[in-house]
Amino acid sequence: MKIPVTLNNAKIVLESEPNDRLLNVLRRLNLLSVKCGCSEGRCGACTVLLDGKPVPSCIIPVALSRDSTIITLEYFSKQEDYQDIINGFKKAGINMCGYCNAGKVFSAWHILNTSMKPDRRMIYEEVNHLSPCCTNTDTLINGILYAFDFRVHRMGVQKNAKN
Amino acid sequence: MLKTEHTFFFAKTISELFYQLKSVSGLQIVGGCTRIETVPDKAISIRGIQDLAVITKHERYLDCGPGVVLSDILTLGRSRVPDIFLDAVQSVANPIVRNIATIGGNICAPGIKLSLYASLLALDTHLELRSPVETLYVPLPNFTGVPQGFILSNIRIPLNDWDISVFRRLGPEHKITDTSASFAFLADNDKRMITNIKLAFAGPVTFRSLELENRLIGTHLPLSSKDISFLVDTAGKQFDKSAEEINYNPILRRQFLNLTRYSLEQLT
Amino acid sequence: MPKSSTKSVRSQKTARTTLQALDYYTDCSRQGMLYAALIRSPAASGIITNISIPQMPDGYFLFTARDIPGRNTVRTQNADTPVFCADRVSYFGEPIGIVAGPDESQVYELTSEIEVTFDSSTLESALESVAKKYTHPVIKLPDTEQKPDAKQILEITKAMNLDPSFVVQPPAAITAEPRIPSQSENTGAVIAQRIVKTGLFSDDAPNVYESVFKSADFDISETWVQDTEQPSWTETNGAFCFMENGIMNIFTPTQWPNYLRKAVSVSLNLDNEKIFIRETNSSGHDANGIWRNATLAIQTAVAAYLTGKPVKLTLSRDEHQKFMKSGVPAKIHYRTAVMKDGSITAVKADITIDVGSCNPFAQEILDRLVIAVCNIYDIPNICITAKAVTSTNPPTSIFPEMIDSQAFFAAENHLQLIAEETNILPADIRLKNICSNQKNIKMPFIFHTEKAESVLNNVIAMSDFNRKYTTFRIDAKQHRNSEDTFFALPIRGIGLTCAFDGSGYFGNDIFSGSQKIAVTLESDNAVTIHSLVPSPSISEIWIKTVSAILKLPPSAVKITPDMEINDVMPLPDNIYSNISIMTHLLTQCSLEIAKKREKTQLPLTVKKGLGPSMKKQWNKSDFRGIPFHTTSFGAAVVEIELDPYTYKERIKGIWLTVDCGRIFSLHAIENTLRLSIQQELSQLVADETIVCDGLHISFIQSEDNPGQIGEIVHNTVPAAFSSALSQALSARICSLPCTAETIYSQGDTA
Repeated sequence: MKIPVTLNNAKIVLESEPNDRLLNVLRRLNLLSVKCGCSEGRCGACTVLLDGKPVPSCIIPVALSRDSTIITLEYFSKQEDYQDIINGFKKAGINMCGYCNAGKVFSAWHILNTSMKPDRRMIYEEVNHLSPCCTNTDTLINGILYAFDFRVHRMGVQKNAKN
Repeated sequence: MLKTEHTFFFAKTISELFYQLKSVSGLQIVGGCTRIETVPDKAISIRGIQDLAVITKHERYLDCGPGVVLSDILTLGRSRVPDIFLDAVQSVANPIVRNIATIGGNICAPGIKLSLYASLLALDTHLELRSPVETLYVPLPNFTGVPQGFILSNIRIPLNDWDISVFRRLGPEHKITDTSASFAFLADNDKRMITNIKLAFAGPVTFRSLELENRLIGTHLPLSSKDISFLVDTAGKQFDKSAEEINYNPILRRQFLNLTRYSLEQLT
Repeated sequence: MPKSSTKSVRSQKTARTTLQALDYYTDCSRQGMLYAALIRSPAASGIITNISIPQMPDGYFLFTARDIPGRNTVRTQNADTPVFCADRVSYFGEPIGIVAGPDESQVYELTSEIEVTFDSSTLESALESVAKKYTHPVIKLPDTEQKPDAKQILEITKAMNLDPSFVVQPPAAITAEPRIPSQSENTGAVIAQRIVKTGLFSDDAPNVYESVFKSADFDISETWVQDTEQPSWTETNGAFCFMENGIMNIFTPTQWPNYLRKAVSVSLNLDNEKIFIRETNSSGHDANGIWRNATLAIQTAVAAYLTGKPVKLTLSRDEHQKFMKSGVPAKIHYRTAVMKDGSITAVKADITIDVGSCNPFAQEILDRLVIAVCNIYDIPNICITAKAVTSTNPPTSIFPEMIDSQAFFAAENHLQLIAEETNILPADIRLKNICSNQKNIKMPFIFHTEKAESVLNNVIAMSDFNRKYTTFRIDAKQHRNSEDTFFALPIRGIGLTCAFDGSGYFGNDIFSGSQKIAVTLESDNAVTIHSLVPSPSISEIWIKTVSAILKLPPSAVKITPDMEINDVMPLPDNIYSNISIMTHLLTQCSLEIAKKREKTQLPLTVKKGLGPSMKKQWNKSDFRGIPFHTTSFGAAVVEIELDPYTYKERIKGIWLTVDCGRIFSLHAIENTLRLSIQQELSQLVADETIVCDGLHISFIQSEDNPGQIGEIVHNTVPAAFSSALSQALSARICSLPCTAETIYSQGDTA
């Protein structure tokens, strides 16, 4: 089946069995930031942005993504938002193992993007399902709060520069 | 070697959806596919149909299209959505699954009733079922599935304020097993008298405890310990009646009775 | 030969460069790559007479034991296991072949079409699996079977496996999942044993046990089982292999590359020089990286060698959880003789571990359990009998981070039981029995846990344990005696445990004193630590240590795994990154360099290894002495609250105090413990992660050698949790993980 999507800002047509998982299709395209974890949509290792929302690609049939916008970590890592998150994680002492990066980064991004002032409880609700393979939840929350600070600072500087 | 052929169809409007359903035999509607282990051989996604993904708030009720994803319901907040329903939505899976799981898929999932069902039962939700020629409004307690030729086009959730609202999701948090179920209890009282009460349970056994509700409406508060025990027994009998010929884990019955007791104690 | 070795180094470098950026073997791929899947035995035992796939498509391959170019053997320590099962099946799911092909989903479909023929005389267990609705692979009976019930058996088999339109209604007792035989069913061999007897038990006099226990005020017995499973969140086991210029390249999460190379060499009949092992990320959670993954790597290498194409074998999550389970189930029967004042006069402990069909490290696991089963308590009369038995479960491995946790689970839960029976506070029972004077110790094992009392007192004070324990005990009694035994207020319980974490075990069979480290102070005042690169936190500690001693900036210190060291490391990697021993050796190297640097020309290299005198502290033949190079000690308190309506447990607080010697980075060590606790809370109740409202960690700091803390949480929290749960339910929780049904059934009868 041919499935037109916008993948990492490029319009392409995916060719795959419609019931194949989006995770498998993306990995065949060498987008290896998407990892196979629990296969239940829980751990976050397979997270991608689908129409701007983090979703678990391991449980989504690729056909469902038709006409959608898909962003993987390979593309997202070139954005400024990504740098804010990485700086925040670094400040909190987070060394991601490489397997869970997509889940942690995209969940962090979603929080930063949708919340005016994230608090610990709210962040906890958003991230406590992610696999504790290398980082405990408290430290991750700290990292996200630091990332928020970095983002606010960066956006403030950019706004001032424009003015 | 036998390899099953899978075909996926798409529709952008409700009319297109009807057309496909009519033209292709055995076509099944899918939402977010989060509960489907194997995609049906012939499936049609409602993901692209904007008309089925709209939430409209009216004065007395909330209209949700079946394609509304659960995270969008959460963004409405407690000021716009009944607490009990919001608690139920919050209990489903995790945030990333809720970004793709739909309310329609949750209601229509076969087998064990999923987490939203009890709260929607208690809220007296009505389902709008549409065919090319007619529209039916079915109360959720009477819903047994989407009839042939129809689609689930709207979920109407009444908006009332409730003095007491209890929701519990039972069983493991991140998967559905034979111990999974949901419990919902709503009550209103005025001048120390129960004016309205709803009690629902959904899982392997699903029912609204109408007998208990009828008994309690008009009852004066506080309820004595003896009254509560009697009412819990009544609820138990209702459970047993609904659970006839159903294989269920006995822990569910006990949890239901415990929660009924707890909810009645909240009234007191 | 020189020419070929030069070529092979170039090839190794090329392979290393092209795939260097990839940390996970699952991310590796090459043009023309084939996907592989294992064909597994559907029965736990039996003799296979034939394996066949009808209609194997072009470009797809099936290899079995008979296709292996070299020997069908993987030798680990003194244990031999087959690469593929040739005839006699040892365990359920044992690999009997490998299918490889270009399309992954087609490969998996092919495995479901395999026909496995068993010898009819060994059919019973095969049919048992069939009856349990395990449908793949298909079990085929020999056509020439003449037995009178053959037709009926054939019908049942066909109905279960071959005809999808035939709907079979299973009887109620049959479960959908293939059943792995429980320990009680196994009739396997005892492959390791250990017996320790001291005091009155050492004479083996008749009736001594009964007389000792009879003379005590309390004779308390219970059986404890801890079989929690570390969830696997990251990459599953497997390998990626390809032949290039005559070199077999293997990318896999191994922690013992030297052993893997030798094993591949034997199976493929290739020289060691023609095998290149690239260790990919093993994520630190995978005990199977020590030996079990090697079998998968060899199977993949066989397929790559015979097809001449790159092959990748990745276990599915389900396969990984079923057949590569970490940990070894253990059952410990504990019996204690206790006096009125709480002193324990005798312990009789019977330990049985199920190592599956094979475990080359069974003796070490057993020994560690024996050493830990009495914890740090000084008991005058002990009789510990331990045995490791085989079964038809999949093989197991050694998991350093949870090697003796089951012993602590038994010991500490038992102490809680003693506290309840004797009406003495759990804290007092422990303090009463801890050895205060190591010179007069009666136990055969000596641990450097001089600060144990301070640790215990600290955690008791932090958590207000004594007051809560007494209050909850009274509450539990009232619940028991009232009519509504299980309603109203949340039910609470609190548990206390303590345990040590020993590192650098001197009794390790493969620990041959090869732990060495070298440090070079270069001419430009840079420092090179010659060692395998450990984890980031340990690397940070090493760099800080050297930098502080030699008064150089941290940027001048680097850790370099020299090529020669990499290639000939005889032992598993985790031996070399043992923080306590290696940090100690590193410190000694640095101190010596600091002393010599002014007088000696640079570059100056100092090498250190563990001296024989260290190892002599442990008498291997008598099984007594100081078993560990360093010992950390920790105590934990867990307070839980149980929702009386839904039986949902919630942890109100965990208090943990640790004595681990010198702490280099408080922040890092606290993060490590927090992470361990979070991981632990996902194992205690099946299918659930328990929420914890408050985590309080404190340390007893000192200048002692730094000890490892990797096991502290696993050794303490499960027992504290089950003790707390037992108190809350007024029942005894003797095994973990528990389920909601366990709690419900205990609570309902309380």
